[in-house]
Amino acid sequence: MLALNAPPGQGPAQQPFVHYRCLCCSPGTKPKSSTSSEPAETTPHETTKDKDQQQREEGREEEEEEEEGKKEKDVQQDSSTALISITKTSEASHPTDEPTTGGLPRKVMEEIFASGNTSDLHGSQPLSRLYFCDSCDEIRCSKCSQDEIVCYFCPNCLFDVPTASVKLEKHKCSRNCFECPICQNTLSVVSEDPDAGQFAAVPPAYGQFYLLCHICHWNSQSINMTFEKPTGLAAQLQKADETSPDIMEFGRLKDHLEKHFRNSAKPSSSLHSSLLSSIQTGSLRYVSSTASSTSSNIGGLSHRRGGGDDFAHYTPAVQVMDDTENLDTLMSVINLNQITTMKQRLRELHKQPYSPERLQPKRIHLRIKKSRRCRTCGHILVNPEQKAQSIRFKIKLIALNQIPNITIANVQPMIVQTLSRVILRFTNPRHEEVQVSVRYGDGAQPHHGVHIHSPTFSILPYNEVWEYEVGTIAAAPGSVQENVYEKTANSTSIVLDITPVAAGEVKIPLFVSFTFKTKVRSETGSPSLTSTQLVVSGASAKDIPASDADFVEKTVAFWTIIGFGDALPTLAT
Amino acid sequence: MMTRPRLTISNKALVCQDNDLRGNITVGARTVLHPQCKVWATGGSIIFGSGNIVEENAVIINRGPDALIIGDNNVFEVGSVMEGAKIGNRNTLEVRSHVKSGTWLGDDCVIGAVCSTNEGEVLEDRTVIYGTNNERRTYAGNRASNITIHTRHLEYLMQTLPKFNHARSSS
Repeated sequence: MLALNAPPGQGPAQQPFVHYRCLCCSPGTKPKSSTSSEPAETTPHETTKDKDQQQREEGREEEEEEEEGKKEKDVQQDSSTALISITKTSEASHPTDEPTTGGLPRKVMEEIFASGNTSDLHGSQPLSRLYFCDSCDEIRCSKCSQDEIVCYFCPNCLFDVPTASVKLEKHKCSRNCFECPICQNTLSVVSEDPDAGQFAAVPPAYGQFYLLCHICHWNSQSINMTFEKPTGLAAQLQKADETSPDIMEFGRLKDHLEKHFRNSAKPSSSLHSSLLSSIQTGSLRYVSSTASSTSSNIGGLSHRRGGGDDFAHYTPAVQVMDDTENLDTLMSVINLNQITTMKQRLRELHKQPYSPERLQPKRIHLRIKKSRRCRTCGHILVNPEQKAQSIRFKIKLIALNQIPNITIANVQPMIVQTLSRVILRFTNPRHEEVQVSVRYGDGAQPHHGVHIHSPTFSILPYNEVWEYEVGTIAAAPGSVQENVYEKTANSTSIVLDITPVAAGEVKIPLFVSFTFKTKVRSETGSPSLTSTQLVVSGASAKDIPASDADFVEKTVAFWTIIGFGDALPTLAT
Repeated sequence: MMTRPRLTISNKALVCQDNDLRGNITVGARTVLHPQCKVWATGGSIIFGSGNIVEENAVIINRGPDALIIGDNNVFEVGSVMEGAKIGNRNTLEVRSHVKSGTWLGDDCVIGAVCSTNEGEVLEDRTVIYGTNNERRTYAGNRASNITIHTRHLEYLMQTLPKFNHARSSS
């Protein structure tokens, strides 16, 4: 009997996966328009007219393309990434012969095909981690979209901190939220007297409130930290903080350097001071202990850059314990509880104490909500609501909702030189019917034998009602034209025969393009699409019936990489 | 001939009916055994002191030949497992914690949620086990407020539980 686990000596068995490739970091060649008929060079989202219909026809999957000769297509092309969408209508001269169709010119298709035609996993991610820009009609990953901060909030009290005061409060909650210096959990304010607050007549005793961690039972009384009242603890702590020698030392050093930068009227000095002021808490421990060398280092740095400015020598007001003394203390430690862990020290960067008694509770760091923007067209992909309490999104253009979701429905164990049958299920999240065509990439290494039984098929639109159905609804008899394995509610399954040629992980690059009819958006929301959309709607309004004019076909093509686990050596070998 | 298991319950204790008690068990005053808890004295007997709380799905097993003596004011929270050999006073076994066999617990120890002790370990007084790596730490600070909270907890249970559950008496 065949062992299904990986042979001993090799790594753990590879799990099957389906990854989608965002071509912004594709290992393949970037698509480049090199035909002379096109304008000199394509800037992102430049609209080009492709007259080379011969090439275009061959790229189409639809049969009616073959006999239709003369067409003009508006090709909206993006050279920066390889995922290209085409928005077009039937051409003006033959409005009735040619229904509105969508497809990619063969050349463009080939470019996308070439750009990701490899089984290298680099730049590919699960669909759930990708976005889909609906004005560029391209997959976007975290690398080709940019983050913007929507709001700052405290994760503990969910208080929205205005952006203006974030820097002032050193990016930490300025209310009552602290984290335990020992185990980094949230501390709670406790009173020594459990009846406090029940009897208002009794005035609270001095310093009766303290911080307690319910996880590790750390207690702020152990470092003599008590509070008079249970609110505004951060402000009470801040007072004590400001008089601590390290904070004062940092302030002095900052003043010292800022004075210098103000005096030297170099253009770069503004950069330095802005950098300096943005660093509110640095690793002061090292700055103060080696203050003279640090300042000379900075001096040397700006010397190299701007040339010829000298720093006045800075004498630290605080002397930090010598490292040799530290070493002696550390050498005598016999119990690990007497010393702080690395994690605890790194949480307190400016002190980094070795003794647990010197650890202080830290205010909880603020978190941010981010919005994501497409780098190419500047459209917002994801935008959460501004309130910290709300978990909804105002805009959520995630790939999961836009492009067919491929899952491995059934997989047989892979054996070298043996045909194994695999079922891939394509699920359509869109409200429009989708025509899908699948193609195997020949750039795969090693090149496994792959036969796709139904390379083109359609998937029914998504319908919320199906969510509540118990079983799957088979398509009506006779409605399945394609030779697909199974066709249920909004998913279609196809069969792949895979013959691995070598042992090891079987990764199959699949080129998927899908076509759907969508409404023309009358408002020109995206600057990149404006020219194309205008031409489209102009042509439609003139020449084709109004019902058709509302819809255009769009084709989106992308690469996926599907892993089927490890292939085992043949029984014979 | 096997002797019939003997269940001795103090008049002031509250032992609900829907639980699984096996072997010789003695329950001290003001101790509360919730429904659906398991106390198995399969080896020696189990003797509860006063003011203990054993919550739902908590398991206390004594497999050894000697009696397991449970001190006063201990809390066995939901889903905790106690297989240790000795337990002092005012200990807390948090949710789904596990005290493995042969462990000795001192006083005022806290076994954190989903934490476990080693087998045959001896925990000093005021040890707390917490975190994913079962880190151990001795804590300071007074427990006065905890004792007050525990007393209130007991009072509340004594009032509430009999309204919805039948109580057992000594057999």
